[in-house]
Amino acid sequence: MNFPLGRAPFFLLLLAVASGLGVWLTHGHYGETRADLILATHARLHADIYRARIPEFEKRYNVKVDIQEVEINAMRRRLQAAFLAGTEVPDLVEVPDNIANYINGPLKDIGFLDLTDWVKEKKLDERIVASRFSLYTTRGRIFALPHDVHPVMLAYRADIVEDQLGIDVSTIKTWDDFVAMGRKVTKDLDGDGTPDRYALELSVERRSAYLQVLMSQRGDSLFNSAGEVAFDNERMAELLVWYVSQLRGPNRIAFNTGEGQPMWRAMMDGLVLFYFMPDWRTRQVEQWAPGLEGKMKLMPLPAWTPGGIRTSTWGSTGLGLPKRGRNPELAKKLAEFLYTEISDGGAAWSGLHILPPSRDAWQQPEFEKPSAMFRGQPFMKLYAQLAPDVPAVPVTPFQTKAENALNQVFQACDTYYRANGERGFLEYARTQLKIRADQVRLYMTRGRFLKE
Amino acid sequence: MKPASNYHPVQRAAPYWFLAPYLLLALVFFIYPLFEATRLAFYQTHGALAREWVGLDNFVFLFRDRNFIQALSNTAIFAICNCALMVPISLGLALLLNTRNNRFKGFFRVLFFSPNFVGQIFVGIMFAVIFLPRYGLMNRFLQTLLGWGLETEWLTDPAMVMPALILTNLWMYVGFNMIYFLAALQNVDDSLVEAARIDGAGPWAVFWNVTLPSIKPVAIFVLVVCMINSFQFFDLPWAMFRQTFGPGNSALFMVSYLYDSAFHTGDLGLASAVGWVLGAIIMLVSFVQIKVLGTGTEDA
Amino acid sequence: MNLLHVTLLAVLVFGFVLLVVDRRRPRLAGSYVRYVLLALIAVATLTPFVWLACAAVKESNVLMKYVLLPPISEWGEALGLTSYRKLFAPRASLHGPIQFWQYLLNSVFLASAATIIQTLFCSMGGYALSKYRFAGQRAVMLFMIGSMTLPGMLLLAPLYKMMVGFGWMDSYLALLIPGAASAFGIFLFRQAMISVPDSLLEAARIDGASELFIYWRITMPLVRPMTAAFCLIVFMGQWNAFIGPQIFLHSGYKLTAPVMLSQYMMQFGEDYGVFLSGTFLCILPIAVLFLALQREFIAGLTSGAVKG
Repeated sequence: MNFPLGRAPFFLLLLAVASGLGVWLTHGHYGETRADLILATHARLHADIYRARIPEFEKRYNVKVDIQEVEINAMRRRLQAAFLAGTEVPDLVEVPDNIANYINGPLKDIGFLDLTDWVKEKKLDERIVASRFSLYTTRGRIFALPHDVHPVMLAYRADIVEDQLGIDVSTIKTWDDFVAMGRKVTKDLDGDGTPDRYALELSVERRSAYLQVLMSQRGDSLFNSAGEVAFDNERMAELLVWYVSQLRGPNRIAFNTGEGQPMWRAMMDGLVLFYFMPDWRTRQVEQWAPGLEGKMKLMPLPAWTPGGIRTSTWGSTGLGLPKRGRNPELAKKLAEFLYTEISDGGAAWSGLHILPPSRDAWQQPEFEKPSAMFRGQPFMKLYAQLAPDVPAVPVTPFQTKAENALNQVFQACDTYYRANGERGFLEYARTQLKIRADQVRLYMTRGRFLKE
Repeated sequence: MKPASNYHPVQRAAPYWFLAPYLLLALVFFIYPLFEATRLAFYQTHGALAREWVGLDNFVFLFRDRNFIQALSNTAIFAICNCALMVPISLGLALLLNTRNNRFKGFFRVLFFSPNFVGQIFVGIMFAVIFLPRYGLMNRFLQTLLGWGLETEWLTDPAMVMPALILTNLWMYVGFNMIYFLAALQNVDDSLVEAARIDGAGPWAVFWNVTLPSIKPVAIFVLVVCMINSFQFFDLPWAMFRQTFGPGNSALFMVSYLYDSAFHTGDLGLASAVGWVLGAIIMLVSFVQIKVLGTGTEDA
Repeated sequence: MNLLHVTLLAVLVFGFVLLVVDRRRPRLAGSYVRYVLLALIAVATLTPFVWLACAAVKESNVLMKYVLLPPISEWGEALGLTSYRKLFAPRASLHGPIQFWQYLLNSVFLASAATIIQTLFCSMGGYALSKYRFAGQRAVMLFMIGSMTLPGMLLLAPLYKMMVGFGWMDSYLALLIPGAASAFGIFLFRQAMISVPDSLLEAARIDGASELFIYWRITMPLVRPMTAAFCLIVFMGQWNAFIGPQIFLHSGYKLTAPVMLSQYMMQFGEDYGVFLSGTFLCILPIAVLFLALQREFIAGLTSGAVKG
């Protein structure tokens, strides 16, 4: 061996040269695109639908469009990193959830194109449910187009609730009605001391999502429309007391099934009768609980006050156009084409089980079709009927911090209630809300770039 | 040594040429960033794009933020518990292994050292599954040995997170630190030990009066390095808790806070402030340890 | 009472018997205890590796059913490479489908390139500090010691800002260049080169050898064990590196194996087989390298601390 550094370094030098060559050769074939536009989405189903519709758009404008799928966590990380560092991004991006994580800089440094004027010019704010824009708006400017409305209903085991127990759900108009009914049906059927039939599905793990669904329905949200922290109030304390006591109290009607598989198990076993059901979840029911076909039905959420709103909202996706995109005008055309034009009678949206945000699209023949899963109810139409009532969810850059704070409050309250029960619980909930809300306010003192 | 005057000009320039790459790199990628870190700590930034002068507000904010206080206390608890266990256990292991049988010693040395070549990320992924309730290796072992513990929630119960992390960290680094003690034990003067034995000292007295003083410098080295590394703990909890702070922020450490500030919130200024707090703590702790325990060389 | 209890009890009883019976030679009982303890710790050290190796070949439906391997009668259906097939399946990204071997290739390149660069620069620095006396030598040494006491994390945010400014974001330069020469490495080489006799170098000089020749052809061959150890230290460090690639690399096809595995963990959730088999695959090459070079490696690690 003549190499002065010895055998190991020589081997590593060869390895470096060989792998360097490999890297150079393989990296070359990524990223070269002939397309005029690239649209990235985290949802495979969206991608499939877009791919089917793209040829029509390509023919109309004589361009080439590429649809790319990116895993959801990779997408979040990539977008955030790219916007902070100014690296390459696709021309159109479907943003998971909302834009909270991309807007804590000055307006001029926000990675997405400001769509406000375009939305106004195309009158999209009139055609699309206006409340949905709040998820993608900061400082009065709109940075993405809402993909969906996501109204929430309750799905229930009609074979048990109606056929077996003879309950007429149309008489359940408020949550008080529901709790009264729930106490009757929550039962220990085999006499072992713990109930094995519960009325309602509530979550401990995903408490912030469930709490936000209920908050929105009550007209509350983490932030008010002025962007101030708004969750340390009496109404929120009451909701926490309600939530925790329905889940843990002596007269509990709710059960924490856990996520995914265990939840579908509980649904199939009839362990829990009523489930929160945003439109997107109906597809999962068909996928994970096919045996329940014809045994399920949908009803609007009970209202918090007589005559109150009978729905809420859960989840969202928006379409943003990164500023560094190559052809913003063409990208806008594509956005409008994909989100507002419907040429298939609504079959694609109906197949997604997602209600499109554009009002004129709700009258599609496909949406009238009866669903086998839900005993012939035209489920898309039911969601469409509730859609105009869907409450707005104001979003600020401190959304994640506020959700985290709400989780901490819940965790503390849950622990307290299990140890002390009702005694002093409301007061405890108030204090916890105050402490955690103040922490979010502290974070908001760092909103220096938001003063514009 | 070589008298400098005899040197050819080329030779006199040579050391500077050989050092040039390092000096240049250190200037650009160490000295400049160090100044930059100092300057940034007085700014709030939005990524690399926007920044605004905030004076000492970053530091004031940190000590008002419950999350930072929690990160600080989690890190301190981890560092203290980790090092308090690490030093005696690795010393104990080195004493066990310190026999005259060299082949035997070499075999176990490699074996105990082996977890160290696996990166913290990989270990984090492995132990996230090993610590699962009911199905995990750890709990099945507890169940078989003690008859309880099958449902221990190492990763979801905030109180169990720290023990899980410390256990994993010990598994990784005890063998590594043992190597240092083993090397130090080999340098202990055998004649001193023999002399003490002849004077009638028991094994404990020999250890306390002869062995320990002569390995003191290495013990302090191991302790200081353990502290420095513990305060920069990040990869392992980050992988083990799937890039989150764990239940109730129980796996939130100072570097996790720094990482989150810089690359999720985009505030490089706050991250630099955290970096300086971290740097100050590390320097203070190392200084105190060396001052209090001495470098150990004076009485060797 | 199970097999584990019986074994432990037997070990204990045997030790007790030794202690009682063999009172005149207490050293025997002493070394019995020593060996038992060492064996127990060895088992504790190795078990996670064995467990991982088993997990990597089990089918995902029996992964949790058996702690280690299923009984031989079930090997036909319980063992298999399905998780590897899933791991290596092409995965969608912004730049088209990527397969797992791409990340492995990237990791191999980054680790080996960094090793070569660092070995070169650090040995040069070590050579200058050990074989010459020059003005400013003390200052350089003091600076290096000082630089090692500061936590690296402090420089993370400013380095990120610099990389954005250099346009090195999403480029391997950001990972290879800033750490191309480390104070730690220079100290290691200085330590090893001090023992190279100066007379050898003088003789070469008299023969008219250039300074570069003396460094490369005379000094370096004499410190080969140190070089091998240093190579392994750098290679392992880079192979296991997480925070740097995670921050500086953005494009899917440029990422490294640890970054991807950590992401798979979120992506595959309950499908442990996929990221466990990936982890096993990443540990394997480094294990081979370590076992081949362990003697030099351990010597290299301790030389700085104990003797210096």
